[in-house]
Amino acid sequence: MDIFLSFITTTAFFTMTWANLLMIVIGIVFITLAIRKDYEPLLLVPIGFGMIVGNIPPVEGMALSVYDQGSVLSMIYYGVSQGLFPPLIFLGIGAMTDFSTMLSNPKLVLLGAAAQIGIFLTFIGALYLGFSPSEAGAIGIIGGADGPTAIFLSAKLAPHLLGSIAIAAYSYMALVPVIQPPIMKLLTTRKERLIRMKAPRVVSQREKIIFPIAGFLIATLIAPGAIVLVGMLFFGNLLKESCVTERLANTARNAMIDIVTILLGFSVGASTQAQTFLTPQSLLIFGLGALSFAVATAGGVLFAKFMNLFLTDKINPLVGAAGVSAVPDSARVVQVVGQKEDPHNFLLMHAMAPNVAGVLGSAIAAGILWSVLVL
Amino acid sequence: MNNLVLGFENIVYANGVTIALMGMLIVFAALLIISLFIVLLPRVLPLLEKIVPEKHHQHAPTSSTPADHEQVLAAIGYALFRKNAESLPAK
Repeated sequence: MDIFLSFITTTAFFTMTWANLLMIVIGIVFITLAIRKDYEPLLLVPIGFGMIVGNIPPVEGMALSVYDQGSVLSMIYYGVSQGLFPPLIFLGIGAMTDFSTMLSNPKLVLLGAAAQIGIFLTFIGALYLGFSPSEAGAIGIIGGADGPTAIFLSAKLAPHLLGSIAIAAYSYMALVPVIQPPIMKLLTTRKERLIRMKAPRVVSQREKIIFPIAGFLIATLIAPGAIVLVGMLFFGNLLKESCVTERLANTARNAMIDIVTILLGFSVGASTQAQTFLTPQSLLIFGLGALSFAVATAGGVLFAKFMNLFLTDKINPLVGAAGVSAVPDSARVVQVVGQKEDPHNFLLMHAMAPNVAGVLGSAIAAGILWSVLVL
Repeated sequence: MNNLVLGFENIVYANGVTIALMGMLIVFAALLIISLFIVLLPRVLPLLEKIVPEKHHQHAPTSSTPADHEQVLAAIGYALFRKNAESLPAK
């Protein structure tokens, strides 16, 4: 009987707190959003379930949680905490990215740069709120709308905030279809939303092969801190475009990225134990994250309008919103918002250009922040 | 974290504005140079073509040929025909 009673006291019913319960509910909400609303299901289902797993209070003396040395979860989480998973995801993204639209309309690359203003304004905002420069840099990168980049940089600059930053980044990425349209509509007139853009030119295979090598050299000679992320992105793209490594490209964009996404999503979710996650800082990070997404979207749209002052072939300013690097969700949002005004206007192809440029821009921004703030 | 002490002096002490401006400038510079490279690339390619002509043999199957498309279309058509035929009311 004593053994039974002592076992009962080790059950999670005795150690569970309201905060753990709240996190479990949030995990269930994530899963529900993924299933019912189709919001980033490949990410929200692993993260949501990870949140449920991570908030079952561990038994004292047993290595169970992400933070217990030697536990299975801690070994999986090693890929997150040491920044191993994000570059592997970038390899997969590179192997599935087609840079053709960007190569056919290079001026749209600048929209990918403009949207990175969200990162740097949020950095200033986080400093104002009292975060240290390293923490502010890690929080600012949420504005890049790029989960792997956010995880990579926070693992390097502010590992103690990694859980909150990762959850904020992925939550807002999932909410791109909700956050972006009102801002896009607010900053554009109907006439602007109706602009039709010229069809992109055909890009030769040779251009596609040369670009990843040249793009990598340019980006990393300017910002060497971006070597890992940009390197893997362009390496993956070269595997795809070289036409001689189709098997490797296939593995990178299918099996490998899926495996890494499962491990990353699940372990990030499991790292959100209420005791470390439910803090005032997390709330601030969520607030700053929402702000940075809004600023990034506005930055892209407004810069497109600015460019239109000088261009004869006008850009539909909605395309600027795709400068945030949530690939391909923000490009899809541009297409949806554009088609609401004109069902025969196909902006998706054009929006993919700033979208992939945004991936590049946020990786470069991460490299810059890492180089400057780690010193 | 500095116990949430709000203030503009945090930004000043950390050189926040300088870092933000410099960061934005570098991102723009990098993407602008990439953009210029993309503009120049089609003009350089004809020169490259003279030095290293492009070979048109395939090392690995990369994309489907028109013949493949026809076979796929035929298969889809047949499958649809079978499906529709099964769903038709029996006479």
